[in-house]
Amino acid sequence: MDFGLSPEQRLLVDTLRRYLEEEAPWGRVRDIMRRDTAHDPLLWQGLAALGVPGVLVPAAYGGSGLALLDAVLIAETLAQGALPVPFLGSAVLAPLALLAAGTPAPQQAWLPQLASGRACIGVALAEQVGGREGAGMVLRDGRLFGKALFVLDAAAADAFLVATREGDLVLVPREAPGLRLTLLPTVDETRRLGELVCEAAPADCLGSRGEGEAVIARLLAAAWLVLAAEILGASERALDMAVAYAKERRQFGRPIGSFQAVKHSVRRDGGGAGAGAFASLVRRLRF
Amino acid sequence: MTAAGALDDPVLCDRLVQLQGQVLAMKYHALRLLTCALKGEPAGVAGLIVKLNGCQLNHDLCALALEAMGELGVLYHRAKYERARGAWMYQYLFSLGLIIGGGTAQIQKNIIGERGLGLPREPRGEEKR
Repeated sequence: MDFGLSPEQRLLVDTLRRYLEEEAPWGRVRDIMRRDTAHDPLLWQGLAALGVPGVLVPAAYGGSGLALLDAVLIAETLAQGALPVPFLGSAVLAPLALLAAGTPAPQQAWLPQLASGRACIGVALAEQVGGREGAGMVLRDGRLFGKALFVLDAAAADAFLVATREGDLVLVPREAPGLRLTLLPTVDETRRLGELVCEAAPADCLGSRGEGEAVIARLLAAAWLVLAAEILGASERALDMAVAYAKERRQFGRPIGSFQAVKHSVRRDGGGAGAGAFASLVRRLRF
Repeated sequence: MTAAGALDDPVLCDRLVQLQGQVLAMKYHALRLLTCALKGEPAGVAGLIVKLNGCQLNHDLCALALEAMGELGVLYHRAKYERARGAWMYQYLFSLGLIIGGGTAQIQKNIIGERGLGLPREPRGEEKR
């Protein structure tokens, strides 16, 4: 019985972590955060050589053809470095949607580009959980109407995957007439969320009309898993940094980590148990 | 979820009422301290808890506001749809600084224990080799 990671998964994580230490130290992360798009195409394409953008894309389309657990492990590792990359939208949700709902034509048009890191797709799913400020989109005669808020990976997107009020999954190019994107800055400067407003923007439905509900439900579940993995990764790194600091910072004549109050605030074992349990959970979920 | 909708959530409502109780307690505690000051009486341990409780309460109030706002709470830097000009997020982060600065919460608890309740002082530790 083995609820741990496979040697291949361990290798993937270690290789990625070492690559990020070399290629994306804090200085580069901060530089990318300062860009309007918070996106560095060179970094994303560099990660394509490690199979990161194409983790869920089948090998036939130029990807690694791996499973959601592998994507979750990557998400956790990327978040340890607070990487400003469009992983959630372009490497997880868009490929899942194209594979589950799309026909060969959009798959061929987008999957190889996504896997190589040359294209990005923003994702509008927030209204499926709850519409704020009157947001929601509808598809009428091949055209999108309405607005979507909190669009993921909006700034560098070449197209947007939109879930409509009626349960359709729609793909609309960024250059479509009648489409307006406004970036929404948040407290997290590693990601640029957006507001998408469409006024008769020509768009293509992925799959048949009114049959996207089941796929949308899977997308939401996958998104929550990836976001949970990101929170875990960021927390792990924050914990490591706090512990390292507590060992070296001296005050009142000794390292501050020697004070019981500091020790009790920093629960090392809790962090380790969390990561292992999370991996076991994801392994058991069927996708 | 509008502001009225948030109050309909029993969990959020319960947290709000609990915080309201703590705010009232701090208010009446302050009146007690004021009375001691006017009478020239020492406040004792009562005077030592204000910074600890006040800073934490401030932080908890902001945390509740952000949760009640949901996704809108993460908007910042004058984003479209930002609520209250981002004040809740700003205060949430700034109040964490206040908990740490001017004597951390942990130091405050030591002071309350040692000077307020007369507990034995922590031994001055020797340098560990």
